[in-house]
Amino acid sequence: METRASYMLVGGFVLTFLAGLVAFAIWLAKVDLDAEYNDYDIYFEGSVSGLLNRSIVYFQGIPVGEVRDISLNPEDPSQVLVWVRVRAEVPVNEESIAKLEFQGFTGVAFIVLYGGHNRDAPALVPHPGQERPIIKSEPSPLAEFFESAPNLVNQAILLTGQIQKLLNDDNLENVAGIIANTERLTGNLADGTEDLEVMVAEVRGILAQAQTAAERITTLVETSNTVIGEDARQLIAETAKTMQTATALLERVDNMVAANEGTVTQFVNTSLPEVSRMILDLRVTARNLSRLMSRIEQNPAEVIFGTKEAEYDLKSRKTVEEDN
Amino acid sequence: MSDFSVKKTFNMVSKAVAVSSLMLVAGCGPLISFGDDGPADQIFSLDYPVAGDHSSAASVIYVAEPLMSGGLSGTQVSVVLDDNQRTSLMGVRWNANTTDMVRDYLVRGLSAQSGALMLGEGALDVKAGCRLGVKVWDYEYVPGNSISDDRVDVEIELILVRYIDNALLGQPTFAASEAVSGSDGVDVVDGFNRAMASISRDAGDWIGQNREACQL
Repeated sequence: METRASYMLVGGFVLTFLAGLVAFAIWLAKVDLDAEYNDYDIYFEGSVSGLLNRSIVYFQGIPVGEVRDISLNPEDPSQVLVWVRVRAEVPVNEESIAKLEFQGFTGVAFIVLYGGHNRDAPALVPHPGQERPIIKSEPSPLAEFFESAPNLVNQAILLTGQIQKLLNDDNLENVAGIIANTERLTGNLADGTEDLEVMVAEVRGILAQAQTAAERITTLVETSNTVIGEDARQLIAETAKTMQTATALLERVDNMVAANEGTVTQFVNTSLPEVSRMILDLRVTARNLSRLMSRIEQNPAEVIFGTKEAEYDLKSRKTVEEDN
Repeated sequence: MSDFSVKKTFNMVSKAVAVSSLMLVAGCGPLISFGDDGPADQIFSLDYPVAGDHSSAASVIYVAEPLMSGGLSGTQVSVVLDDNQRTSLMGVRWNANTTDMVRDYLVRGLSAQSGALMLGEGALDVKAGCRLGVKVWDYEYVPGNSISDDRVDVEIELILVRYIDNALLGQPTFAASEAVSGSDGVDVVDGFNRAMASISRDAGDWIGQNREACQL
């Protein structure tokens, strides 16, 4: 038996399946067939790390486009040229600014458009020789942070080392001492504040007394000036007269010494030592006389007739009473 | 009153004065000793050394009068008994005060030994470079238990002072102890002579070492 196939039914089924498949692909790709887009170029200074093709472009927090391509500026390799496609209803004009932002600290980058709200601002148009209009860009604070992060880390390491040196055991003891002293100082200040008013009052009193004393001193100086003015001349005249007399006296002494130089020299060389020795002898003599006078006062008979004592006899080798 | 009466009264007063004087002298008899018939004291002197001729010496030293320790000054010979008893030697005396004797002995002895010109009492007005003070601590006879133990002790401290700045150059003490070989005054004096010679010799050497500081 020959199998009879319905070609119409099979063909219909296949076409329906393919149409469904296309619709599913369109749905899956979220292709907005009705949307209109404008393309722009953005030049970023430095790295755009984390930014990829198809990365999202946000405006007011809404995804309004995507990155179409990323490349280096052929005229300046330090700049990165980013081609973006933005929905046509998004206001993009000369005041619009593009920033590179990051999704937290995950490193996923996206572009945010600011400004452009002023409808009077001129619309962006491609400059001569350029395919697309250029949106101005600003560096991202977070990007700047990440760019400067290595330097900050180095500085932090240096700072940590310095802090470790600063806070060694010895310095910690010193710091503890400083804190203790500061605490004591503040305590003393707090206590002293109570006496501050008394001290201020005393200082005021002292200043008042000082002012009175200054006035009296001024008066005294004025009086002294008057007295000195009157008596100084007489005093100076008497002083000068005294000095003249002293000078004359010295001249006379000088002349007398010069005239008797030989005698004076002989006196100094010979008589002075003799006098010195005589003084010593006189001192001994005076002491002996003093001793004698003491003996006379105590027992005059002993001085005249001697002391009765037992003398030592060499022959008998014993003491013998003296017979008077 | 007639002349006869005046003469009679004068004669009576004269006799009364004469009799009173005789009675006064007789009353003082027990107080005044006129000596007795006992033996006379032996009087000795030191045997002074011969001084050298140093009249042109550059170092001149004046020897001051010695200061004698208690009881050593005088003409009696001091004796030290047991228990620190002190007395004098019976029948023996020096012919001069011990102060003068020690000074004269040192002047001559030190001059002979040191090479410096030593000045004594007679050269008071001669310019000197130094003064030598003398302090005599011991100058006595010390009897022992037997004759062989008897000795003479002499100890003298010298103080050498430079006149120009009154600087003390030294203050040594020299001592000598010599045995007494008999029981007569001559033996005792011989001990003193030997002791003084020993001290003079040692002190002369010391003065000789310091005499340059006493140059004029």
